[in-house]
Amino acid sequence: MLEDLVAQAKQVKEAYVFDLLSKRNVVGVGLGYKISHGVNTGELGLIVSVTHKADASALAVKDLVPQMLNGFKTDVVVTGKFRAQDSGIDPKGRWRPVVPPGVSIGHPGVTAGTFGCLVRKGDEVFILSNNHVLADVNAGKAGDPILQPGVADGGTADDHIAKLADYVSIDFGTSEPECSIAEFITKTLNYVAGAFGSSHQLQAVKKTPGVNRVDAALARPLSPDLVKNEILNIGVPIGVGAVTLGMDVQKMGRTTGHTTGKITQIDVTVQIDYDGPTALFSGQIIASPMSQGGDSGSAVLDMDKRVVGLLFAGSDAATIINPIGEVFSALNVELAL
Amino acid sequence: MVENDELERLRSVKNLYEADLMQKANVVGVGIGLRQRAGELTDEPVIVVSVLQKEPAGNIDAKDVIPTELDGVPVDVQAVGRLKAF
Repeated sequence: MLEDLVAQAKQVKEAYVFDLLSKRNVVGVGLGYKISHGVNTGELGLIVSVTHKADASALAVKDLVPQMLNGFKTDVVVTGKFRAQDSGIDPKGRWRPVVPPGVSIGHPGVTAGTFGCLVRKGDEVFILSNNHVLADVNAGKAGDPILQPGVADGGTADDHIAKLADYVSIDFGTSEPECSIAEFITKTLNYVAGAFGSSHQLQAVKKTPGVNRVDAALARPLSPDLVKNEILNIGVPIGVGAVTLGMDVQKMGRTTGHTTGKITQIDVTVQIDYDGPTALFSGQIIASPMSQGGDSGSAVLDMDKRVVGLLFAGSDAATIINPIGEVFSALNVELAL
Repeated sequence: MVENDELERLRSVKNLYEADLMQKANVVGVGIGLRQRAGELTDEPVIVVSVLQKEPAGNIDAKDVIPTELDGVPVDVQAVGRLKAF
């Protein structure tokens, strides 16, 4: 059993951790899989982190890390000195002079979300994120200030980096009191079925009352030099793509940083809670849990760095994503390459 | 990799039953996905009905029971909790 093996390895680690940490150059001890020539061997062992590797001959015998400890292999990994994470790589920090996608951003009326990716309309570049991050769920007005970092991360008027430019309104459907939620859903979904039939050739921006396709907004940077397209910890996206079931994806977000997940559902019709009112979305993508509050607005990419979606909602068990094609056509933009 | 023909079939059945499924108690989403077994993804394409939490069949009104298949297409019920814009 894997759990038994892990439990054993833990015991061995506990028995030797202080001894190992007292050796020269050692800065950490943990459990992990041995990496050989960059490949995960699947073999559980003790990972000993060192500031740098030294020749055995240059070390005192007492400072040598044994190759085996009670039946578990050790793996010596160079990590350098550990430091408390500085603001240089903190997505919640204030980024200047250039703000990369993947970091905290928001409208002053919003806690904080994530700058997803850089897009363009003609020669002009824009910050892409969610309506509920940049436009405060339809409450924002064009020209409103956008802060980096967002308010929850200490952003104030001094952190103004962009202005709200455009957003797709979120339609919360009917407010007729005599229409129950169930009746409303049936009505709107029947409308969808009538409009689209079972054809898969959905028209990208066809608008159906009460049914949303995207939670998206654009902000115009105060200067184009203030932003770049290279997503923090991921790199420059190479284009856009589509998802398939079971595919691996990645994102860089303000709260959980760089994470990966798997596509578990496509073509999803789903009810999303906006802190009280719920909105119905169709044509959505669901991935395994890979995000938390504050990651909204993150661009979701495949492992070849093609942008496939815009993250906007989720739970402990799922991540909800707008397909990027729908986002781009609704806002009439393309990826800034 | 799921074949396109199979996806098309799932899509048409999903579109037919979606409004009905979304009305059932506890249901928050309907999509096309892969069956999960003991929390692990399998490679079996199914209609996925996402619910707030799973309930024993005995606790559910007959009208709210989710069928295990629809027109021959298997249905998998998955608990996702409340989905929030965040």
